[in-house]
Amino acid sequence: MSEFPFRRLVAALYRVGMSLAPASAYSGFEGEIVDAFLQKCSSTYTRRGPWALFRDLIVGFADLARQNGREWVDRVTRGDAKKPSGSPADPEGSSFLASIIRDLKQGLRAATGNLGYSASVIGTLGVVVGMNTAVFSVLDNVLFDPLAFPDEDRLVMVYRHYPDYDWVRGPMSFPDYRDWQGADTGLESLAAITTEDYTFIADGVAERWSGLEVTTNFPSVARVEPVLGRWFAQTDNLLESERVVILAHGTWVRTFGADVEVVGRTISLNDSPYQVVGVMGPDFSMPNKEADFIAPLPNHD
Amino acid sequence: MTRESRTNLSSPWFQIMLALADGQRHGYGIMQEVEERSSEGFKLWPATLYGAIKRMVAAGLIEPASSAEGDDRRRRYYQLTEMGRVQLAAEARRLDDLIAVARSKHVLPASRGA
Repeated sequence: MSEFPFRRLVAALYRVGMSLAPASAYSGFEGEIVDAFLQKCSSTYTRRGPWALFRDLIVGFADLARQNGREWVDRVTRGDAKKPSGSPADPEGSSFLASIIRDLKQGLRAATGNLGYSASVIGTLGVVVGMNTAVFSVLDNVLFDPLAFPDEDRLVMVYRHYPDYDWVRGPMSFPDYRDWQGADTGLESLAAITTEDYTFIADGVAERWSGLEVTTNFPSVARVEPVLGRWFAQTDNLLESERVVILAHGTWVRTFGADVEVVGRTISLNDSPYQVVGVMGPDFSMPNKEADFIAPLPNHD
Repeated sequence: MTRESRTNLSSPWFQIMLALADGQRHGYGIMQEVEERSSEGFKLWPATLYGAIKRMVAAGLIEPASSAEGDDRRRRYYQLTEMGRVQLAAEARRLDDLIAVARSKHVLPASRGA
């Protein structure tokens, strides 16, 4: 008898299928069941060819799924029968729990009784629930949970397009940014922003902070200011200037215990001293980015 | 359990017991026998078959054969118990009675080949 293709794979999958039944449902029979299935498949393949084998595989696995369902129904109903029952004369039971179990049993029977129908219903529900989730996620972000900036409907994100590489939302260089600022873009103002991780060290303990580097004109675009301290000065981004940082509200509370005296203090970031000049409000957040701090984007002119 | 409910053997049980009526068989042998004999393409698949075998052994209708008379030692052979034989006969009689009724009401032709 010639072996049918993927015999080992089929055997392995069938074993996985059997493991989905309640524990010990097939105990003592596993080997025999797999053997019988493989032998059936071999016989079908030899006598009627690959398409008949394909059909047998589908029906065989459906049979396994149905039997698994029966074993679960049995397990559930037998588990119920073990419990002391107040009214043994009424096998169906009249208590609330008994009615739930009866409904569950009925549902499982119906679901395992017609597998094709059940599969299509479950598949349809899955697709519909997935689509709802996707649509709601988009609506929630776009309509119901807008950006945490004033006039957010007038804010746009500008990317550089690299047609040679088919890269639509690519980064832009600092000189590009300078060029675009001078150009007639129709934008009221333009600020550059990038994400950067810094290492914060205090008392010999290091923490990785993720943050934003922004041009000093960021508030003219985002219309947000620190609630404590000040925003960056125009000269704060110069390489020779003293390094400054603004803390996110969460960082201020978590690491500095919401100490208002933190403004003016010097902390260690990336092994360099940074002076804390301000703290953002709790509402400040960037979309898709949890920022622990904001630093000035160094001027590369 | 009443006699009535005992004799209402579900179809796979009845088929398995029929397959074992003329001797011991292993699981795959039962599958083959049922498939070859049933004209309407009734098939027993392994999971259902062994699920039924497990329950029928628990119900005392069939039992693992003590000494295998078949050729394959790797497999367990099954045979009818005394009670199984009685139940099978009772179910067959019940079906026979139903057929007789169907004949008398001209649902089926009066006789088939007899």
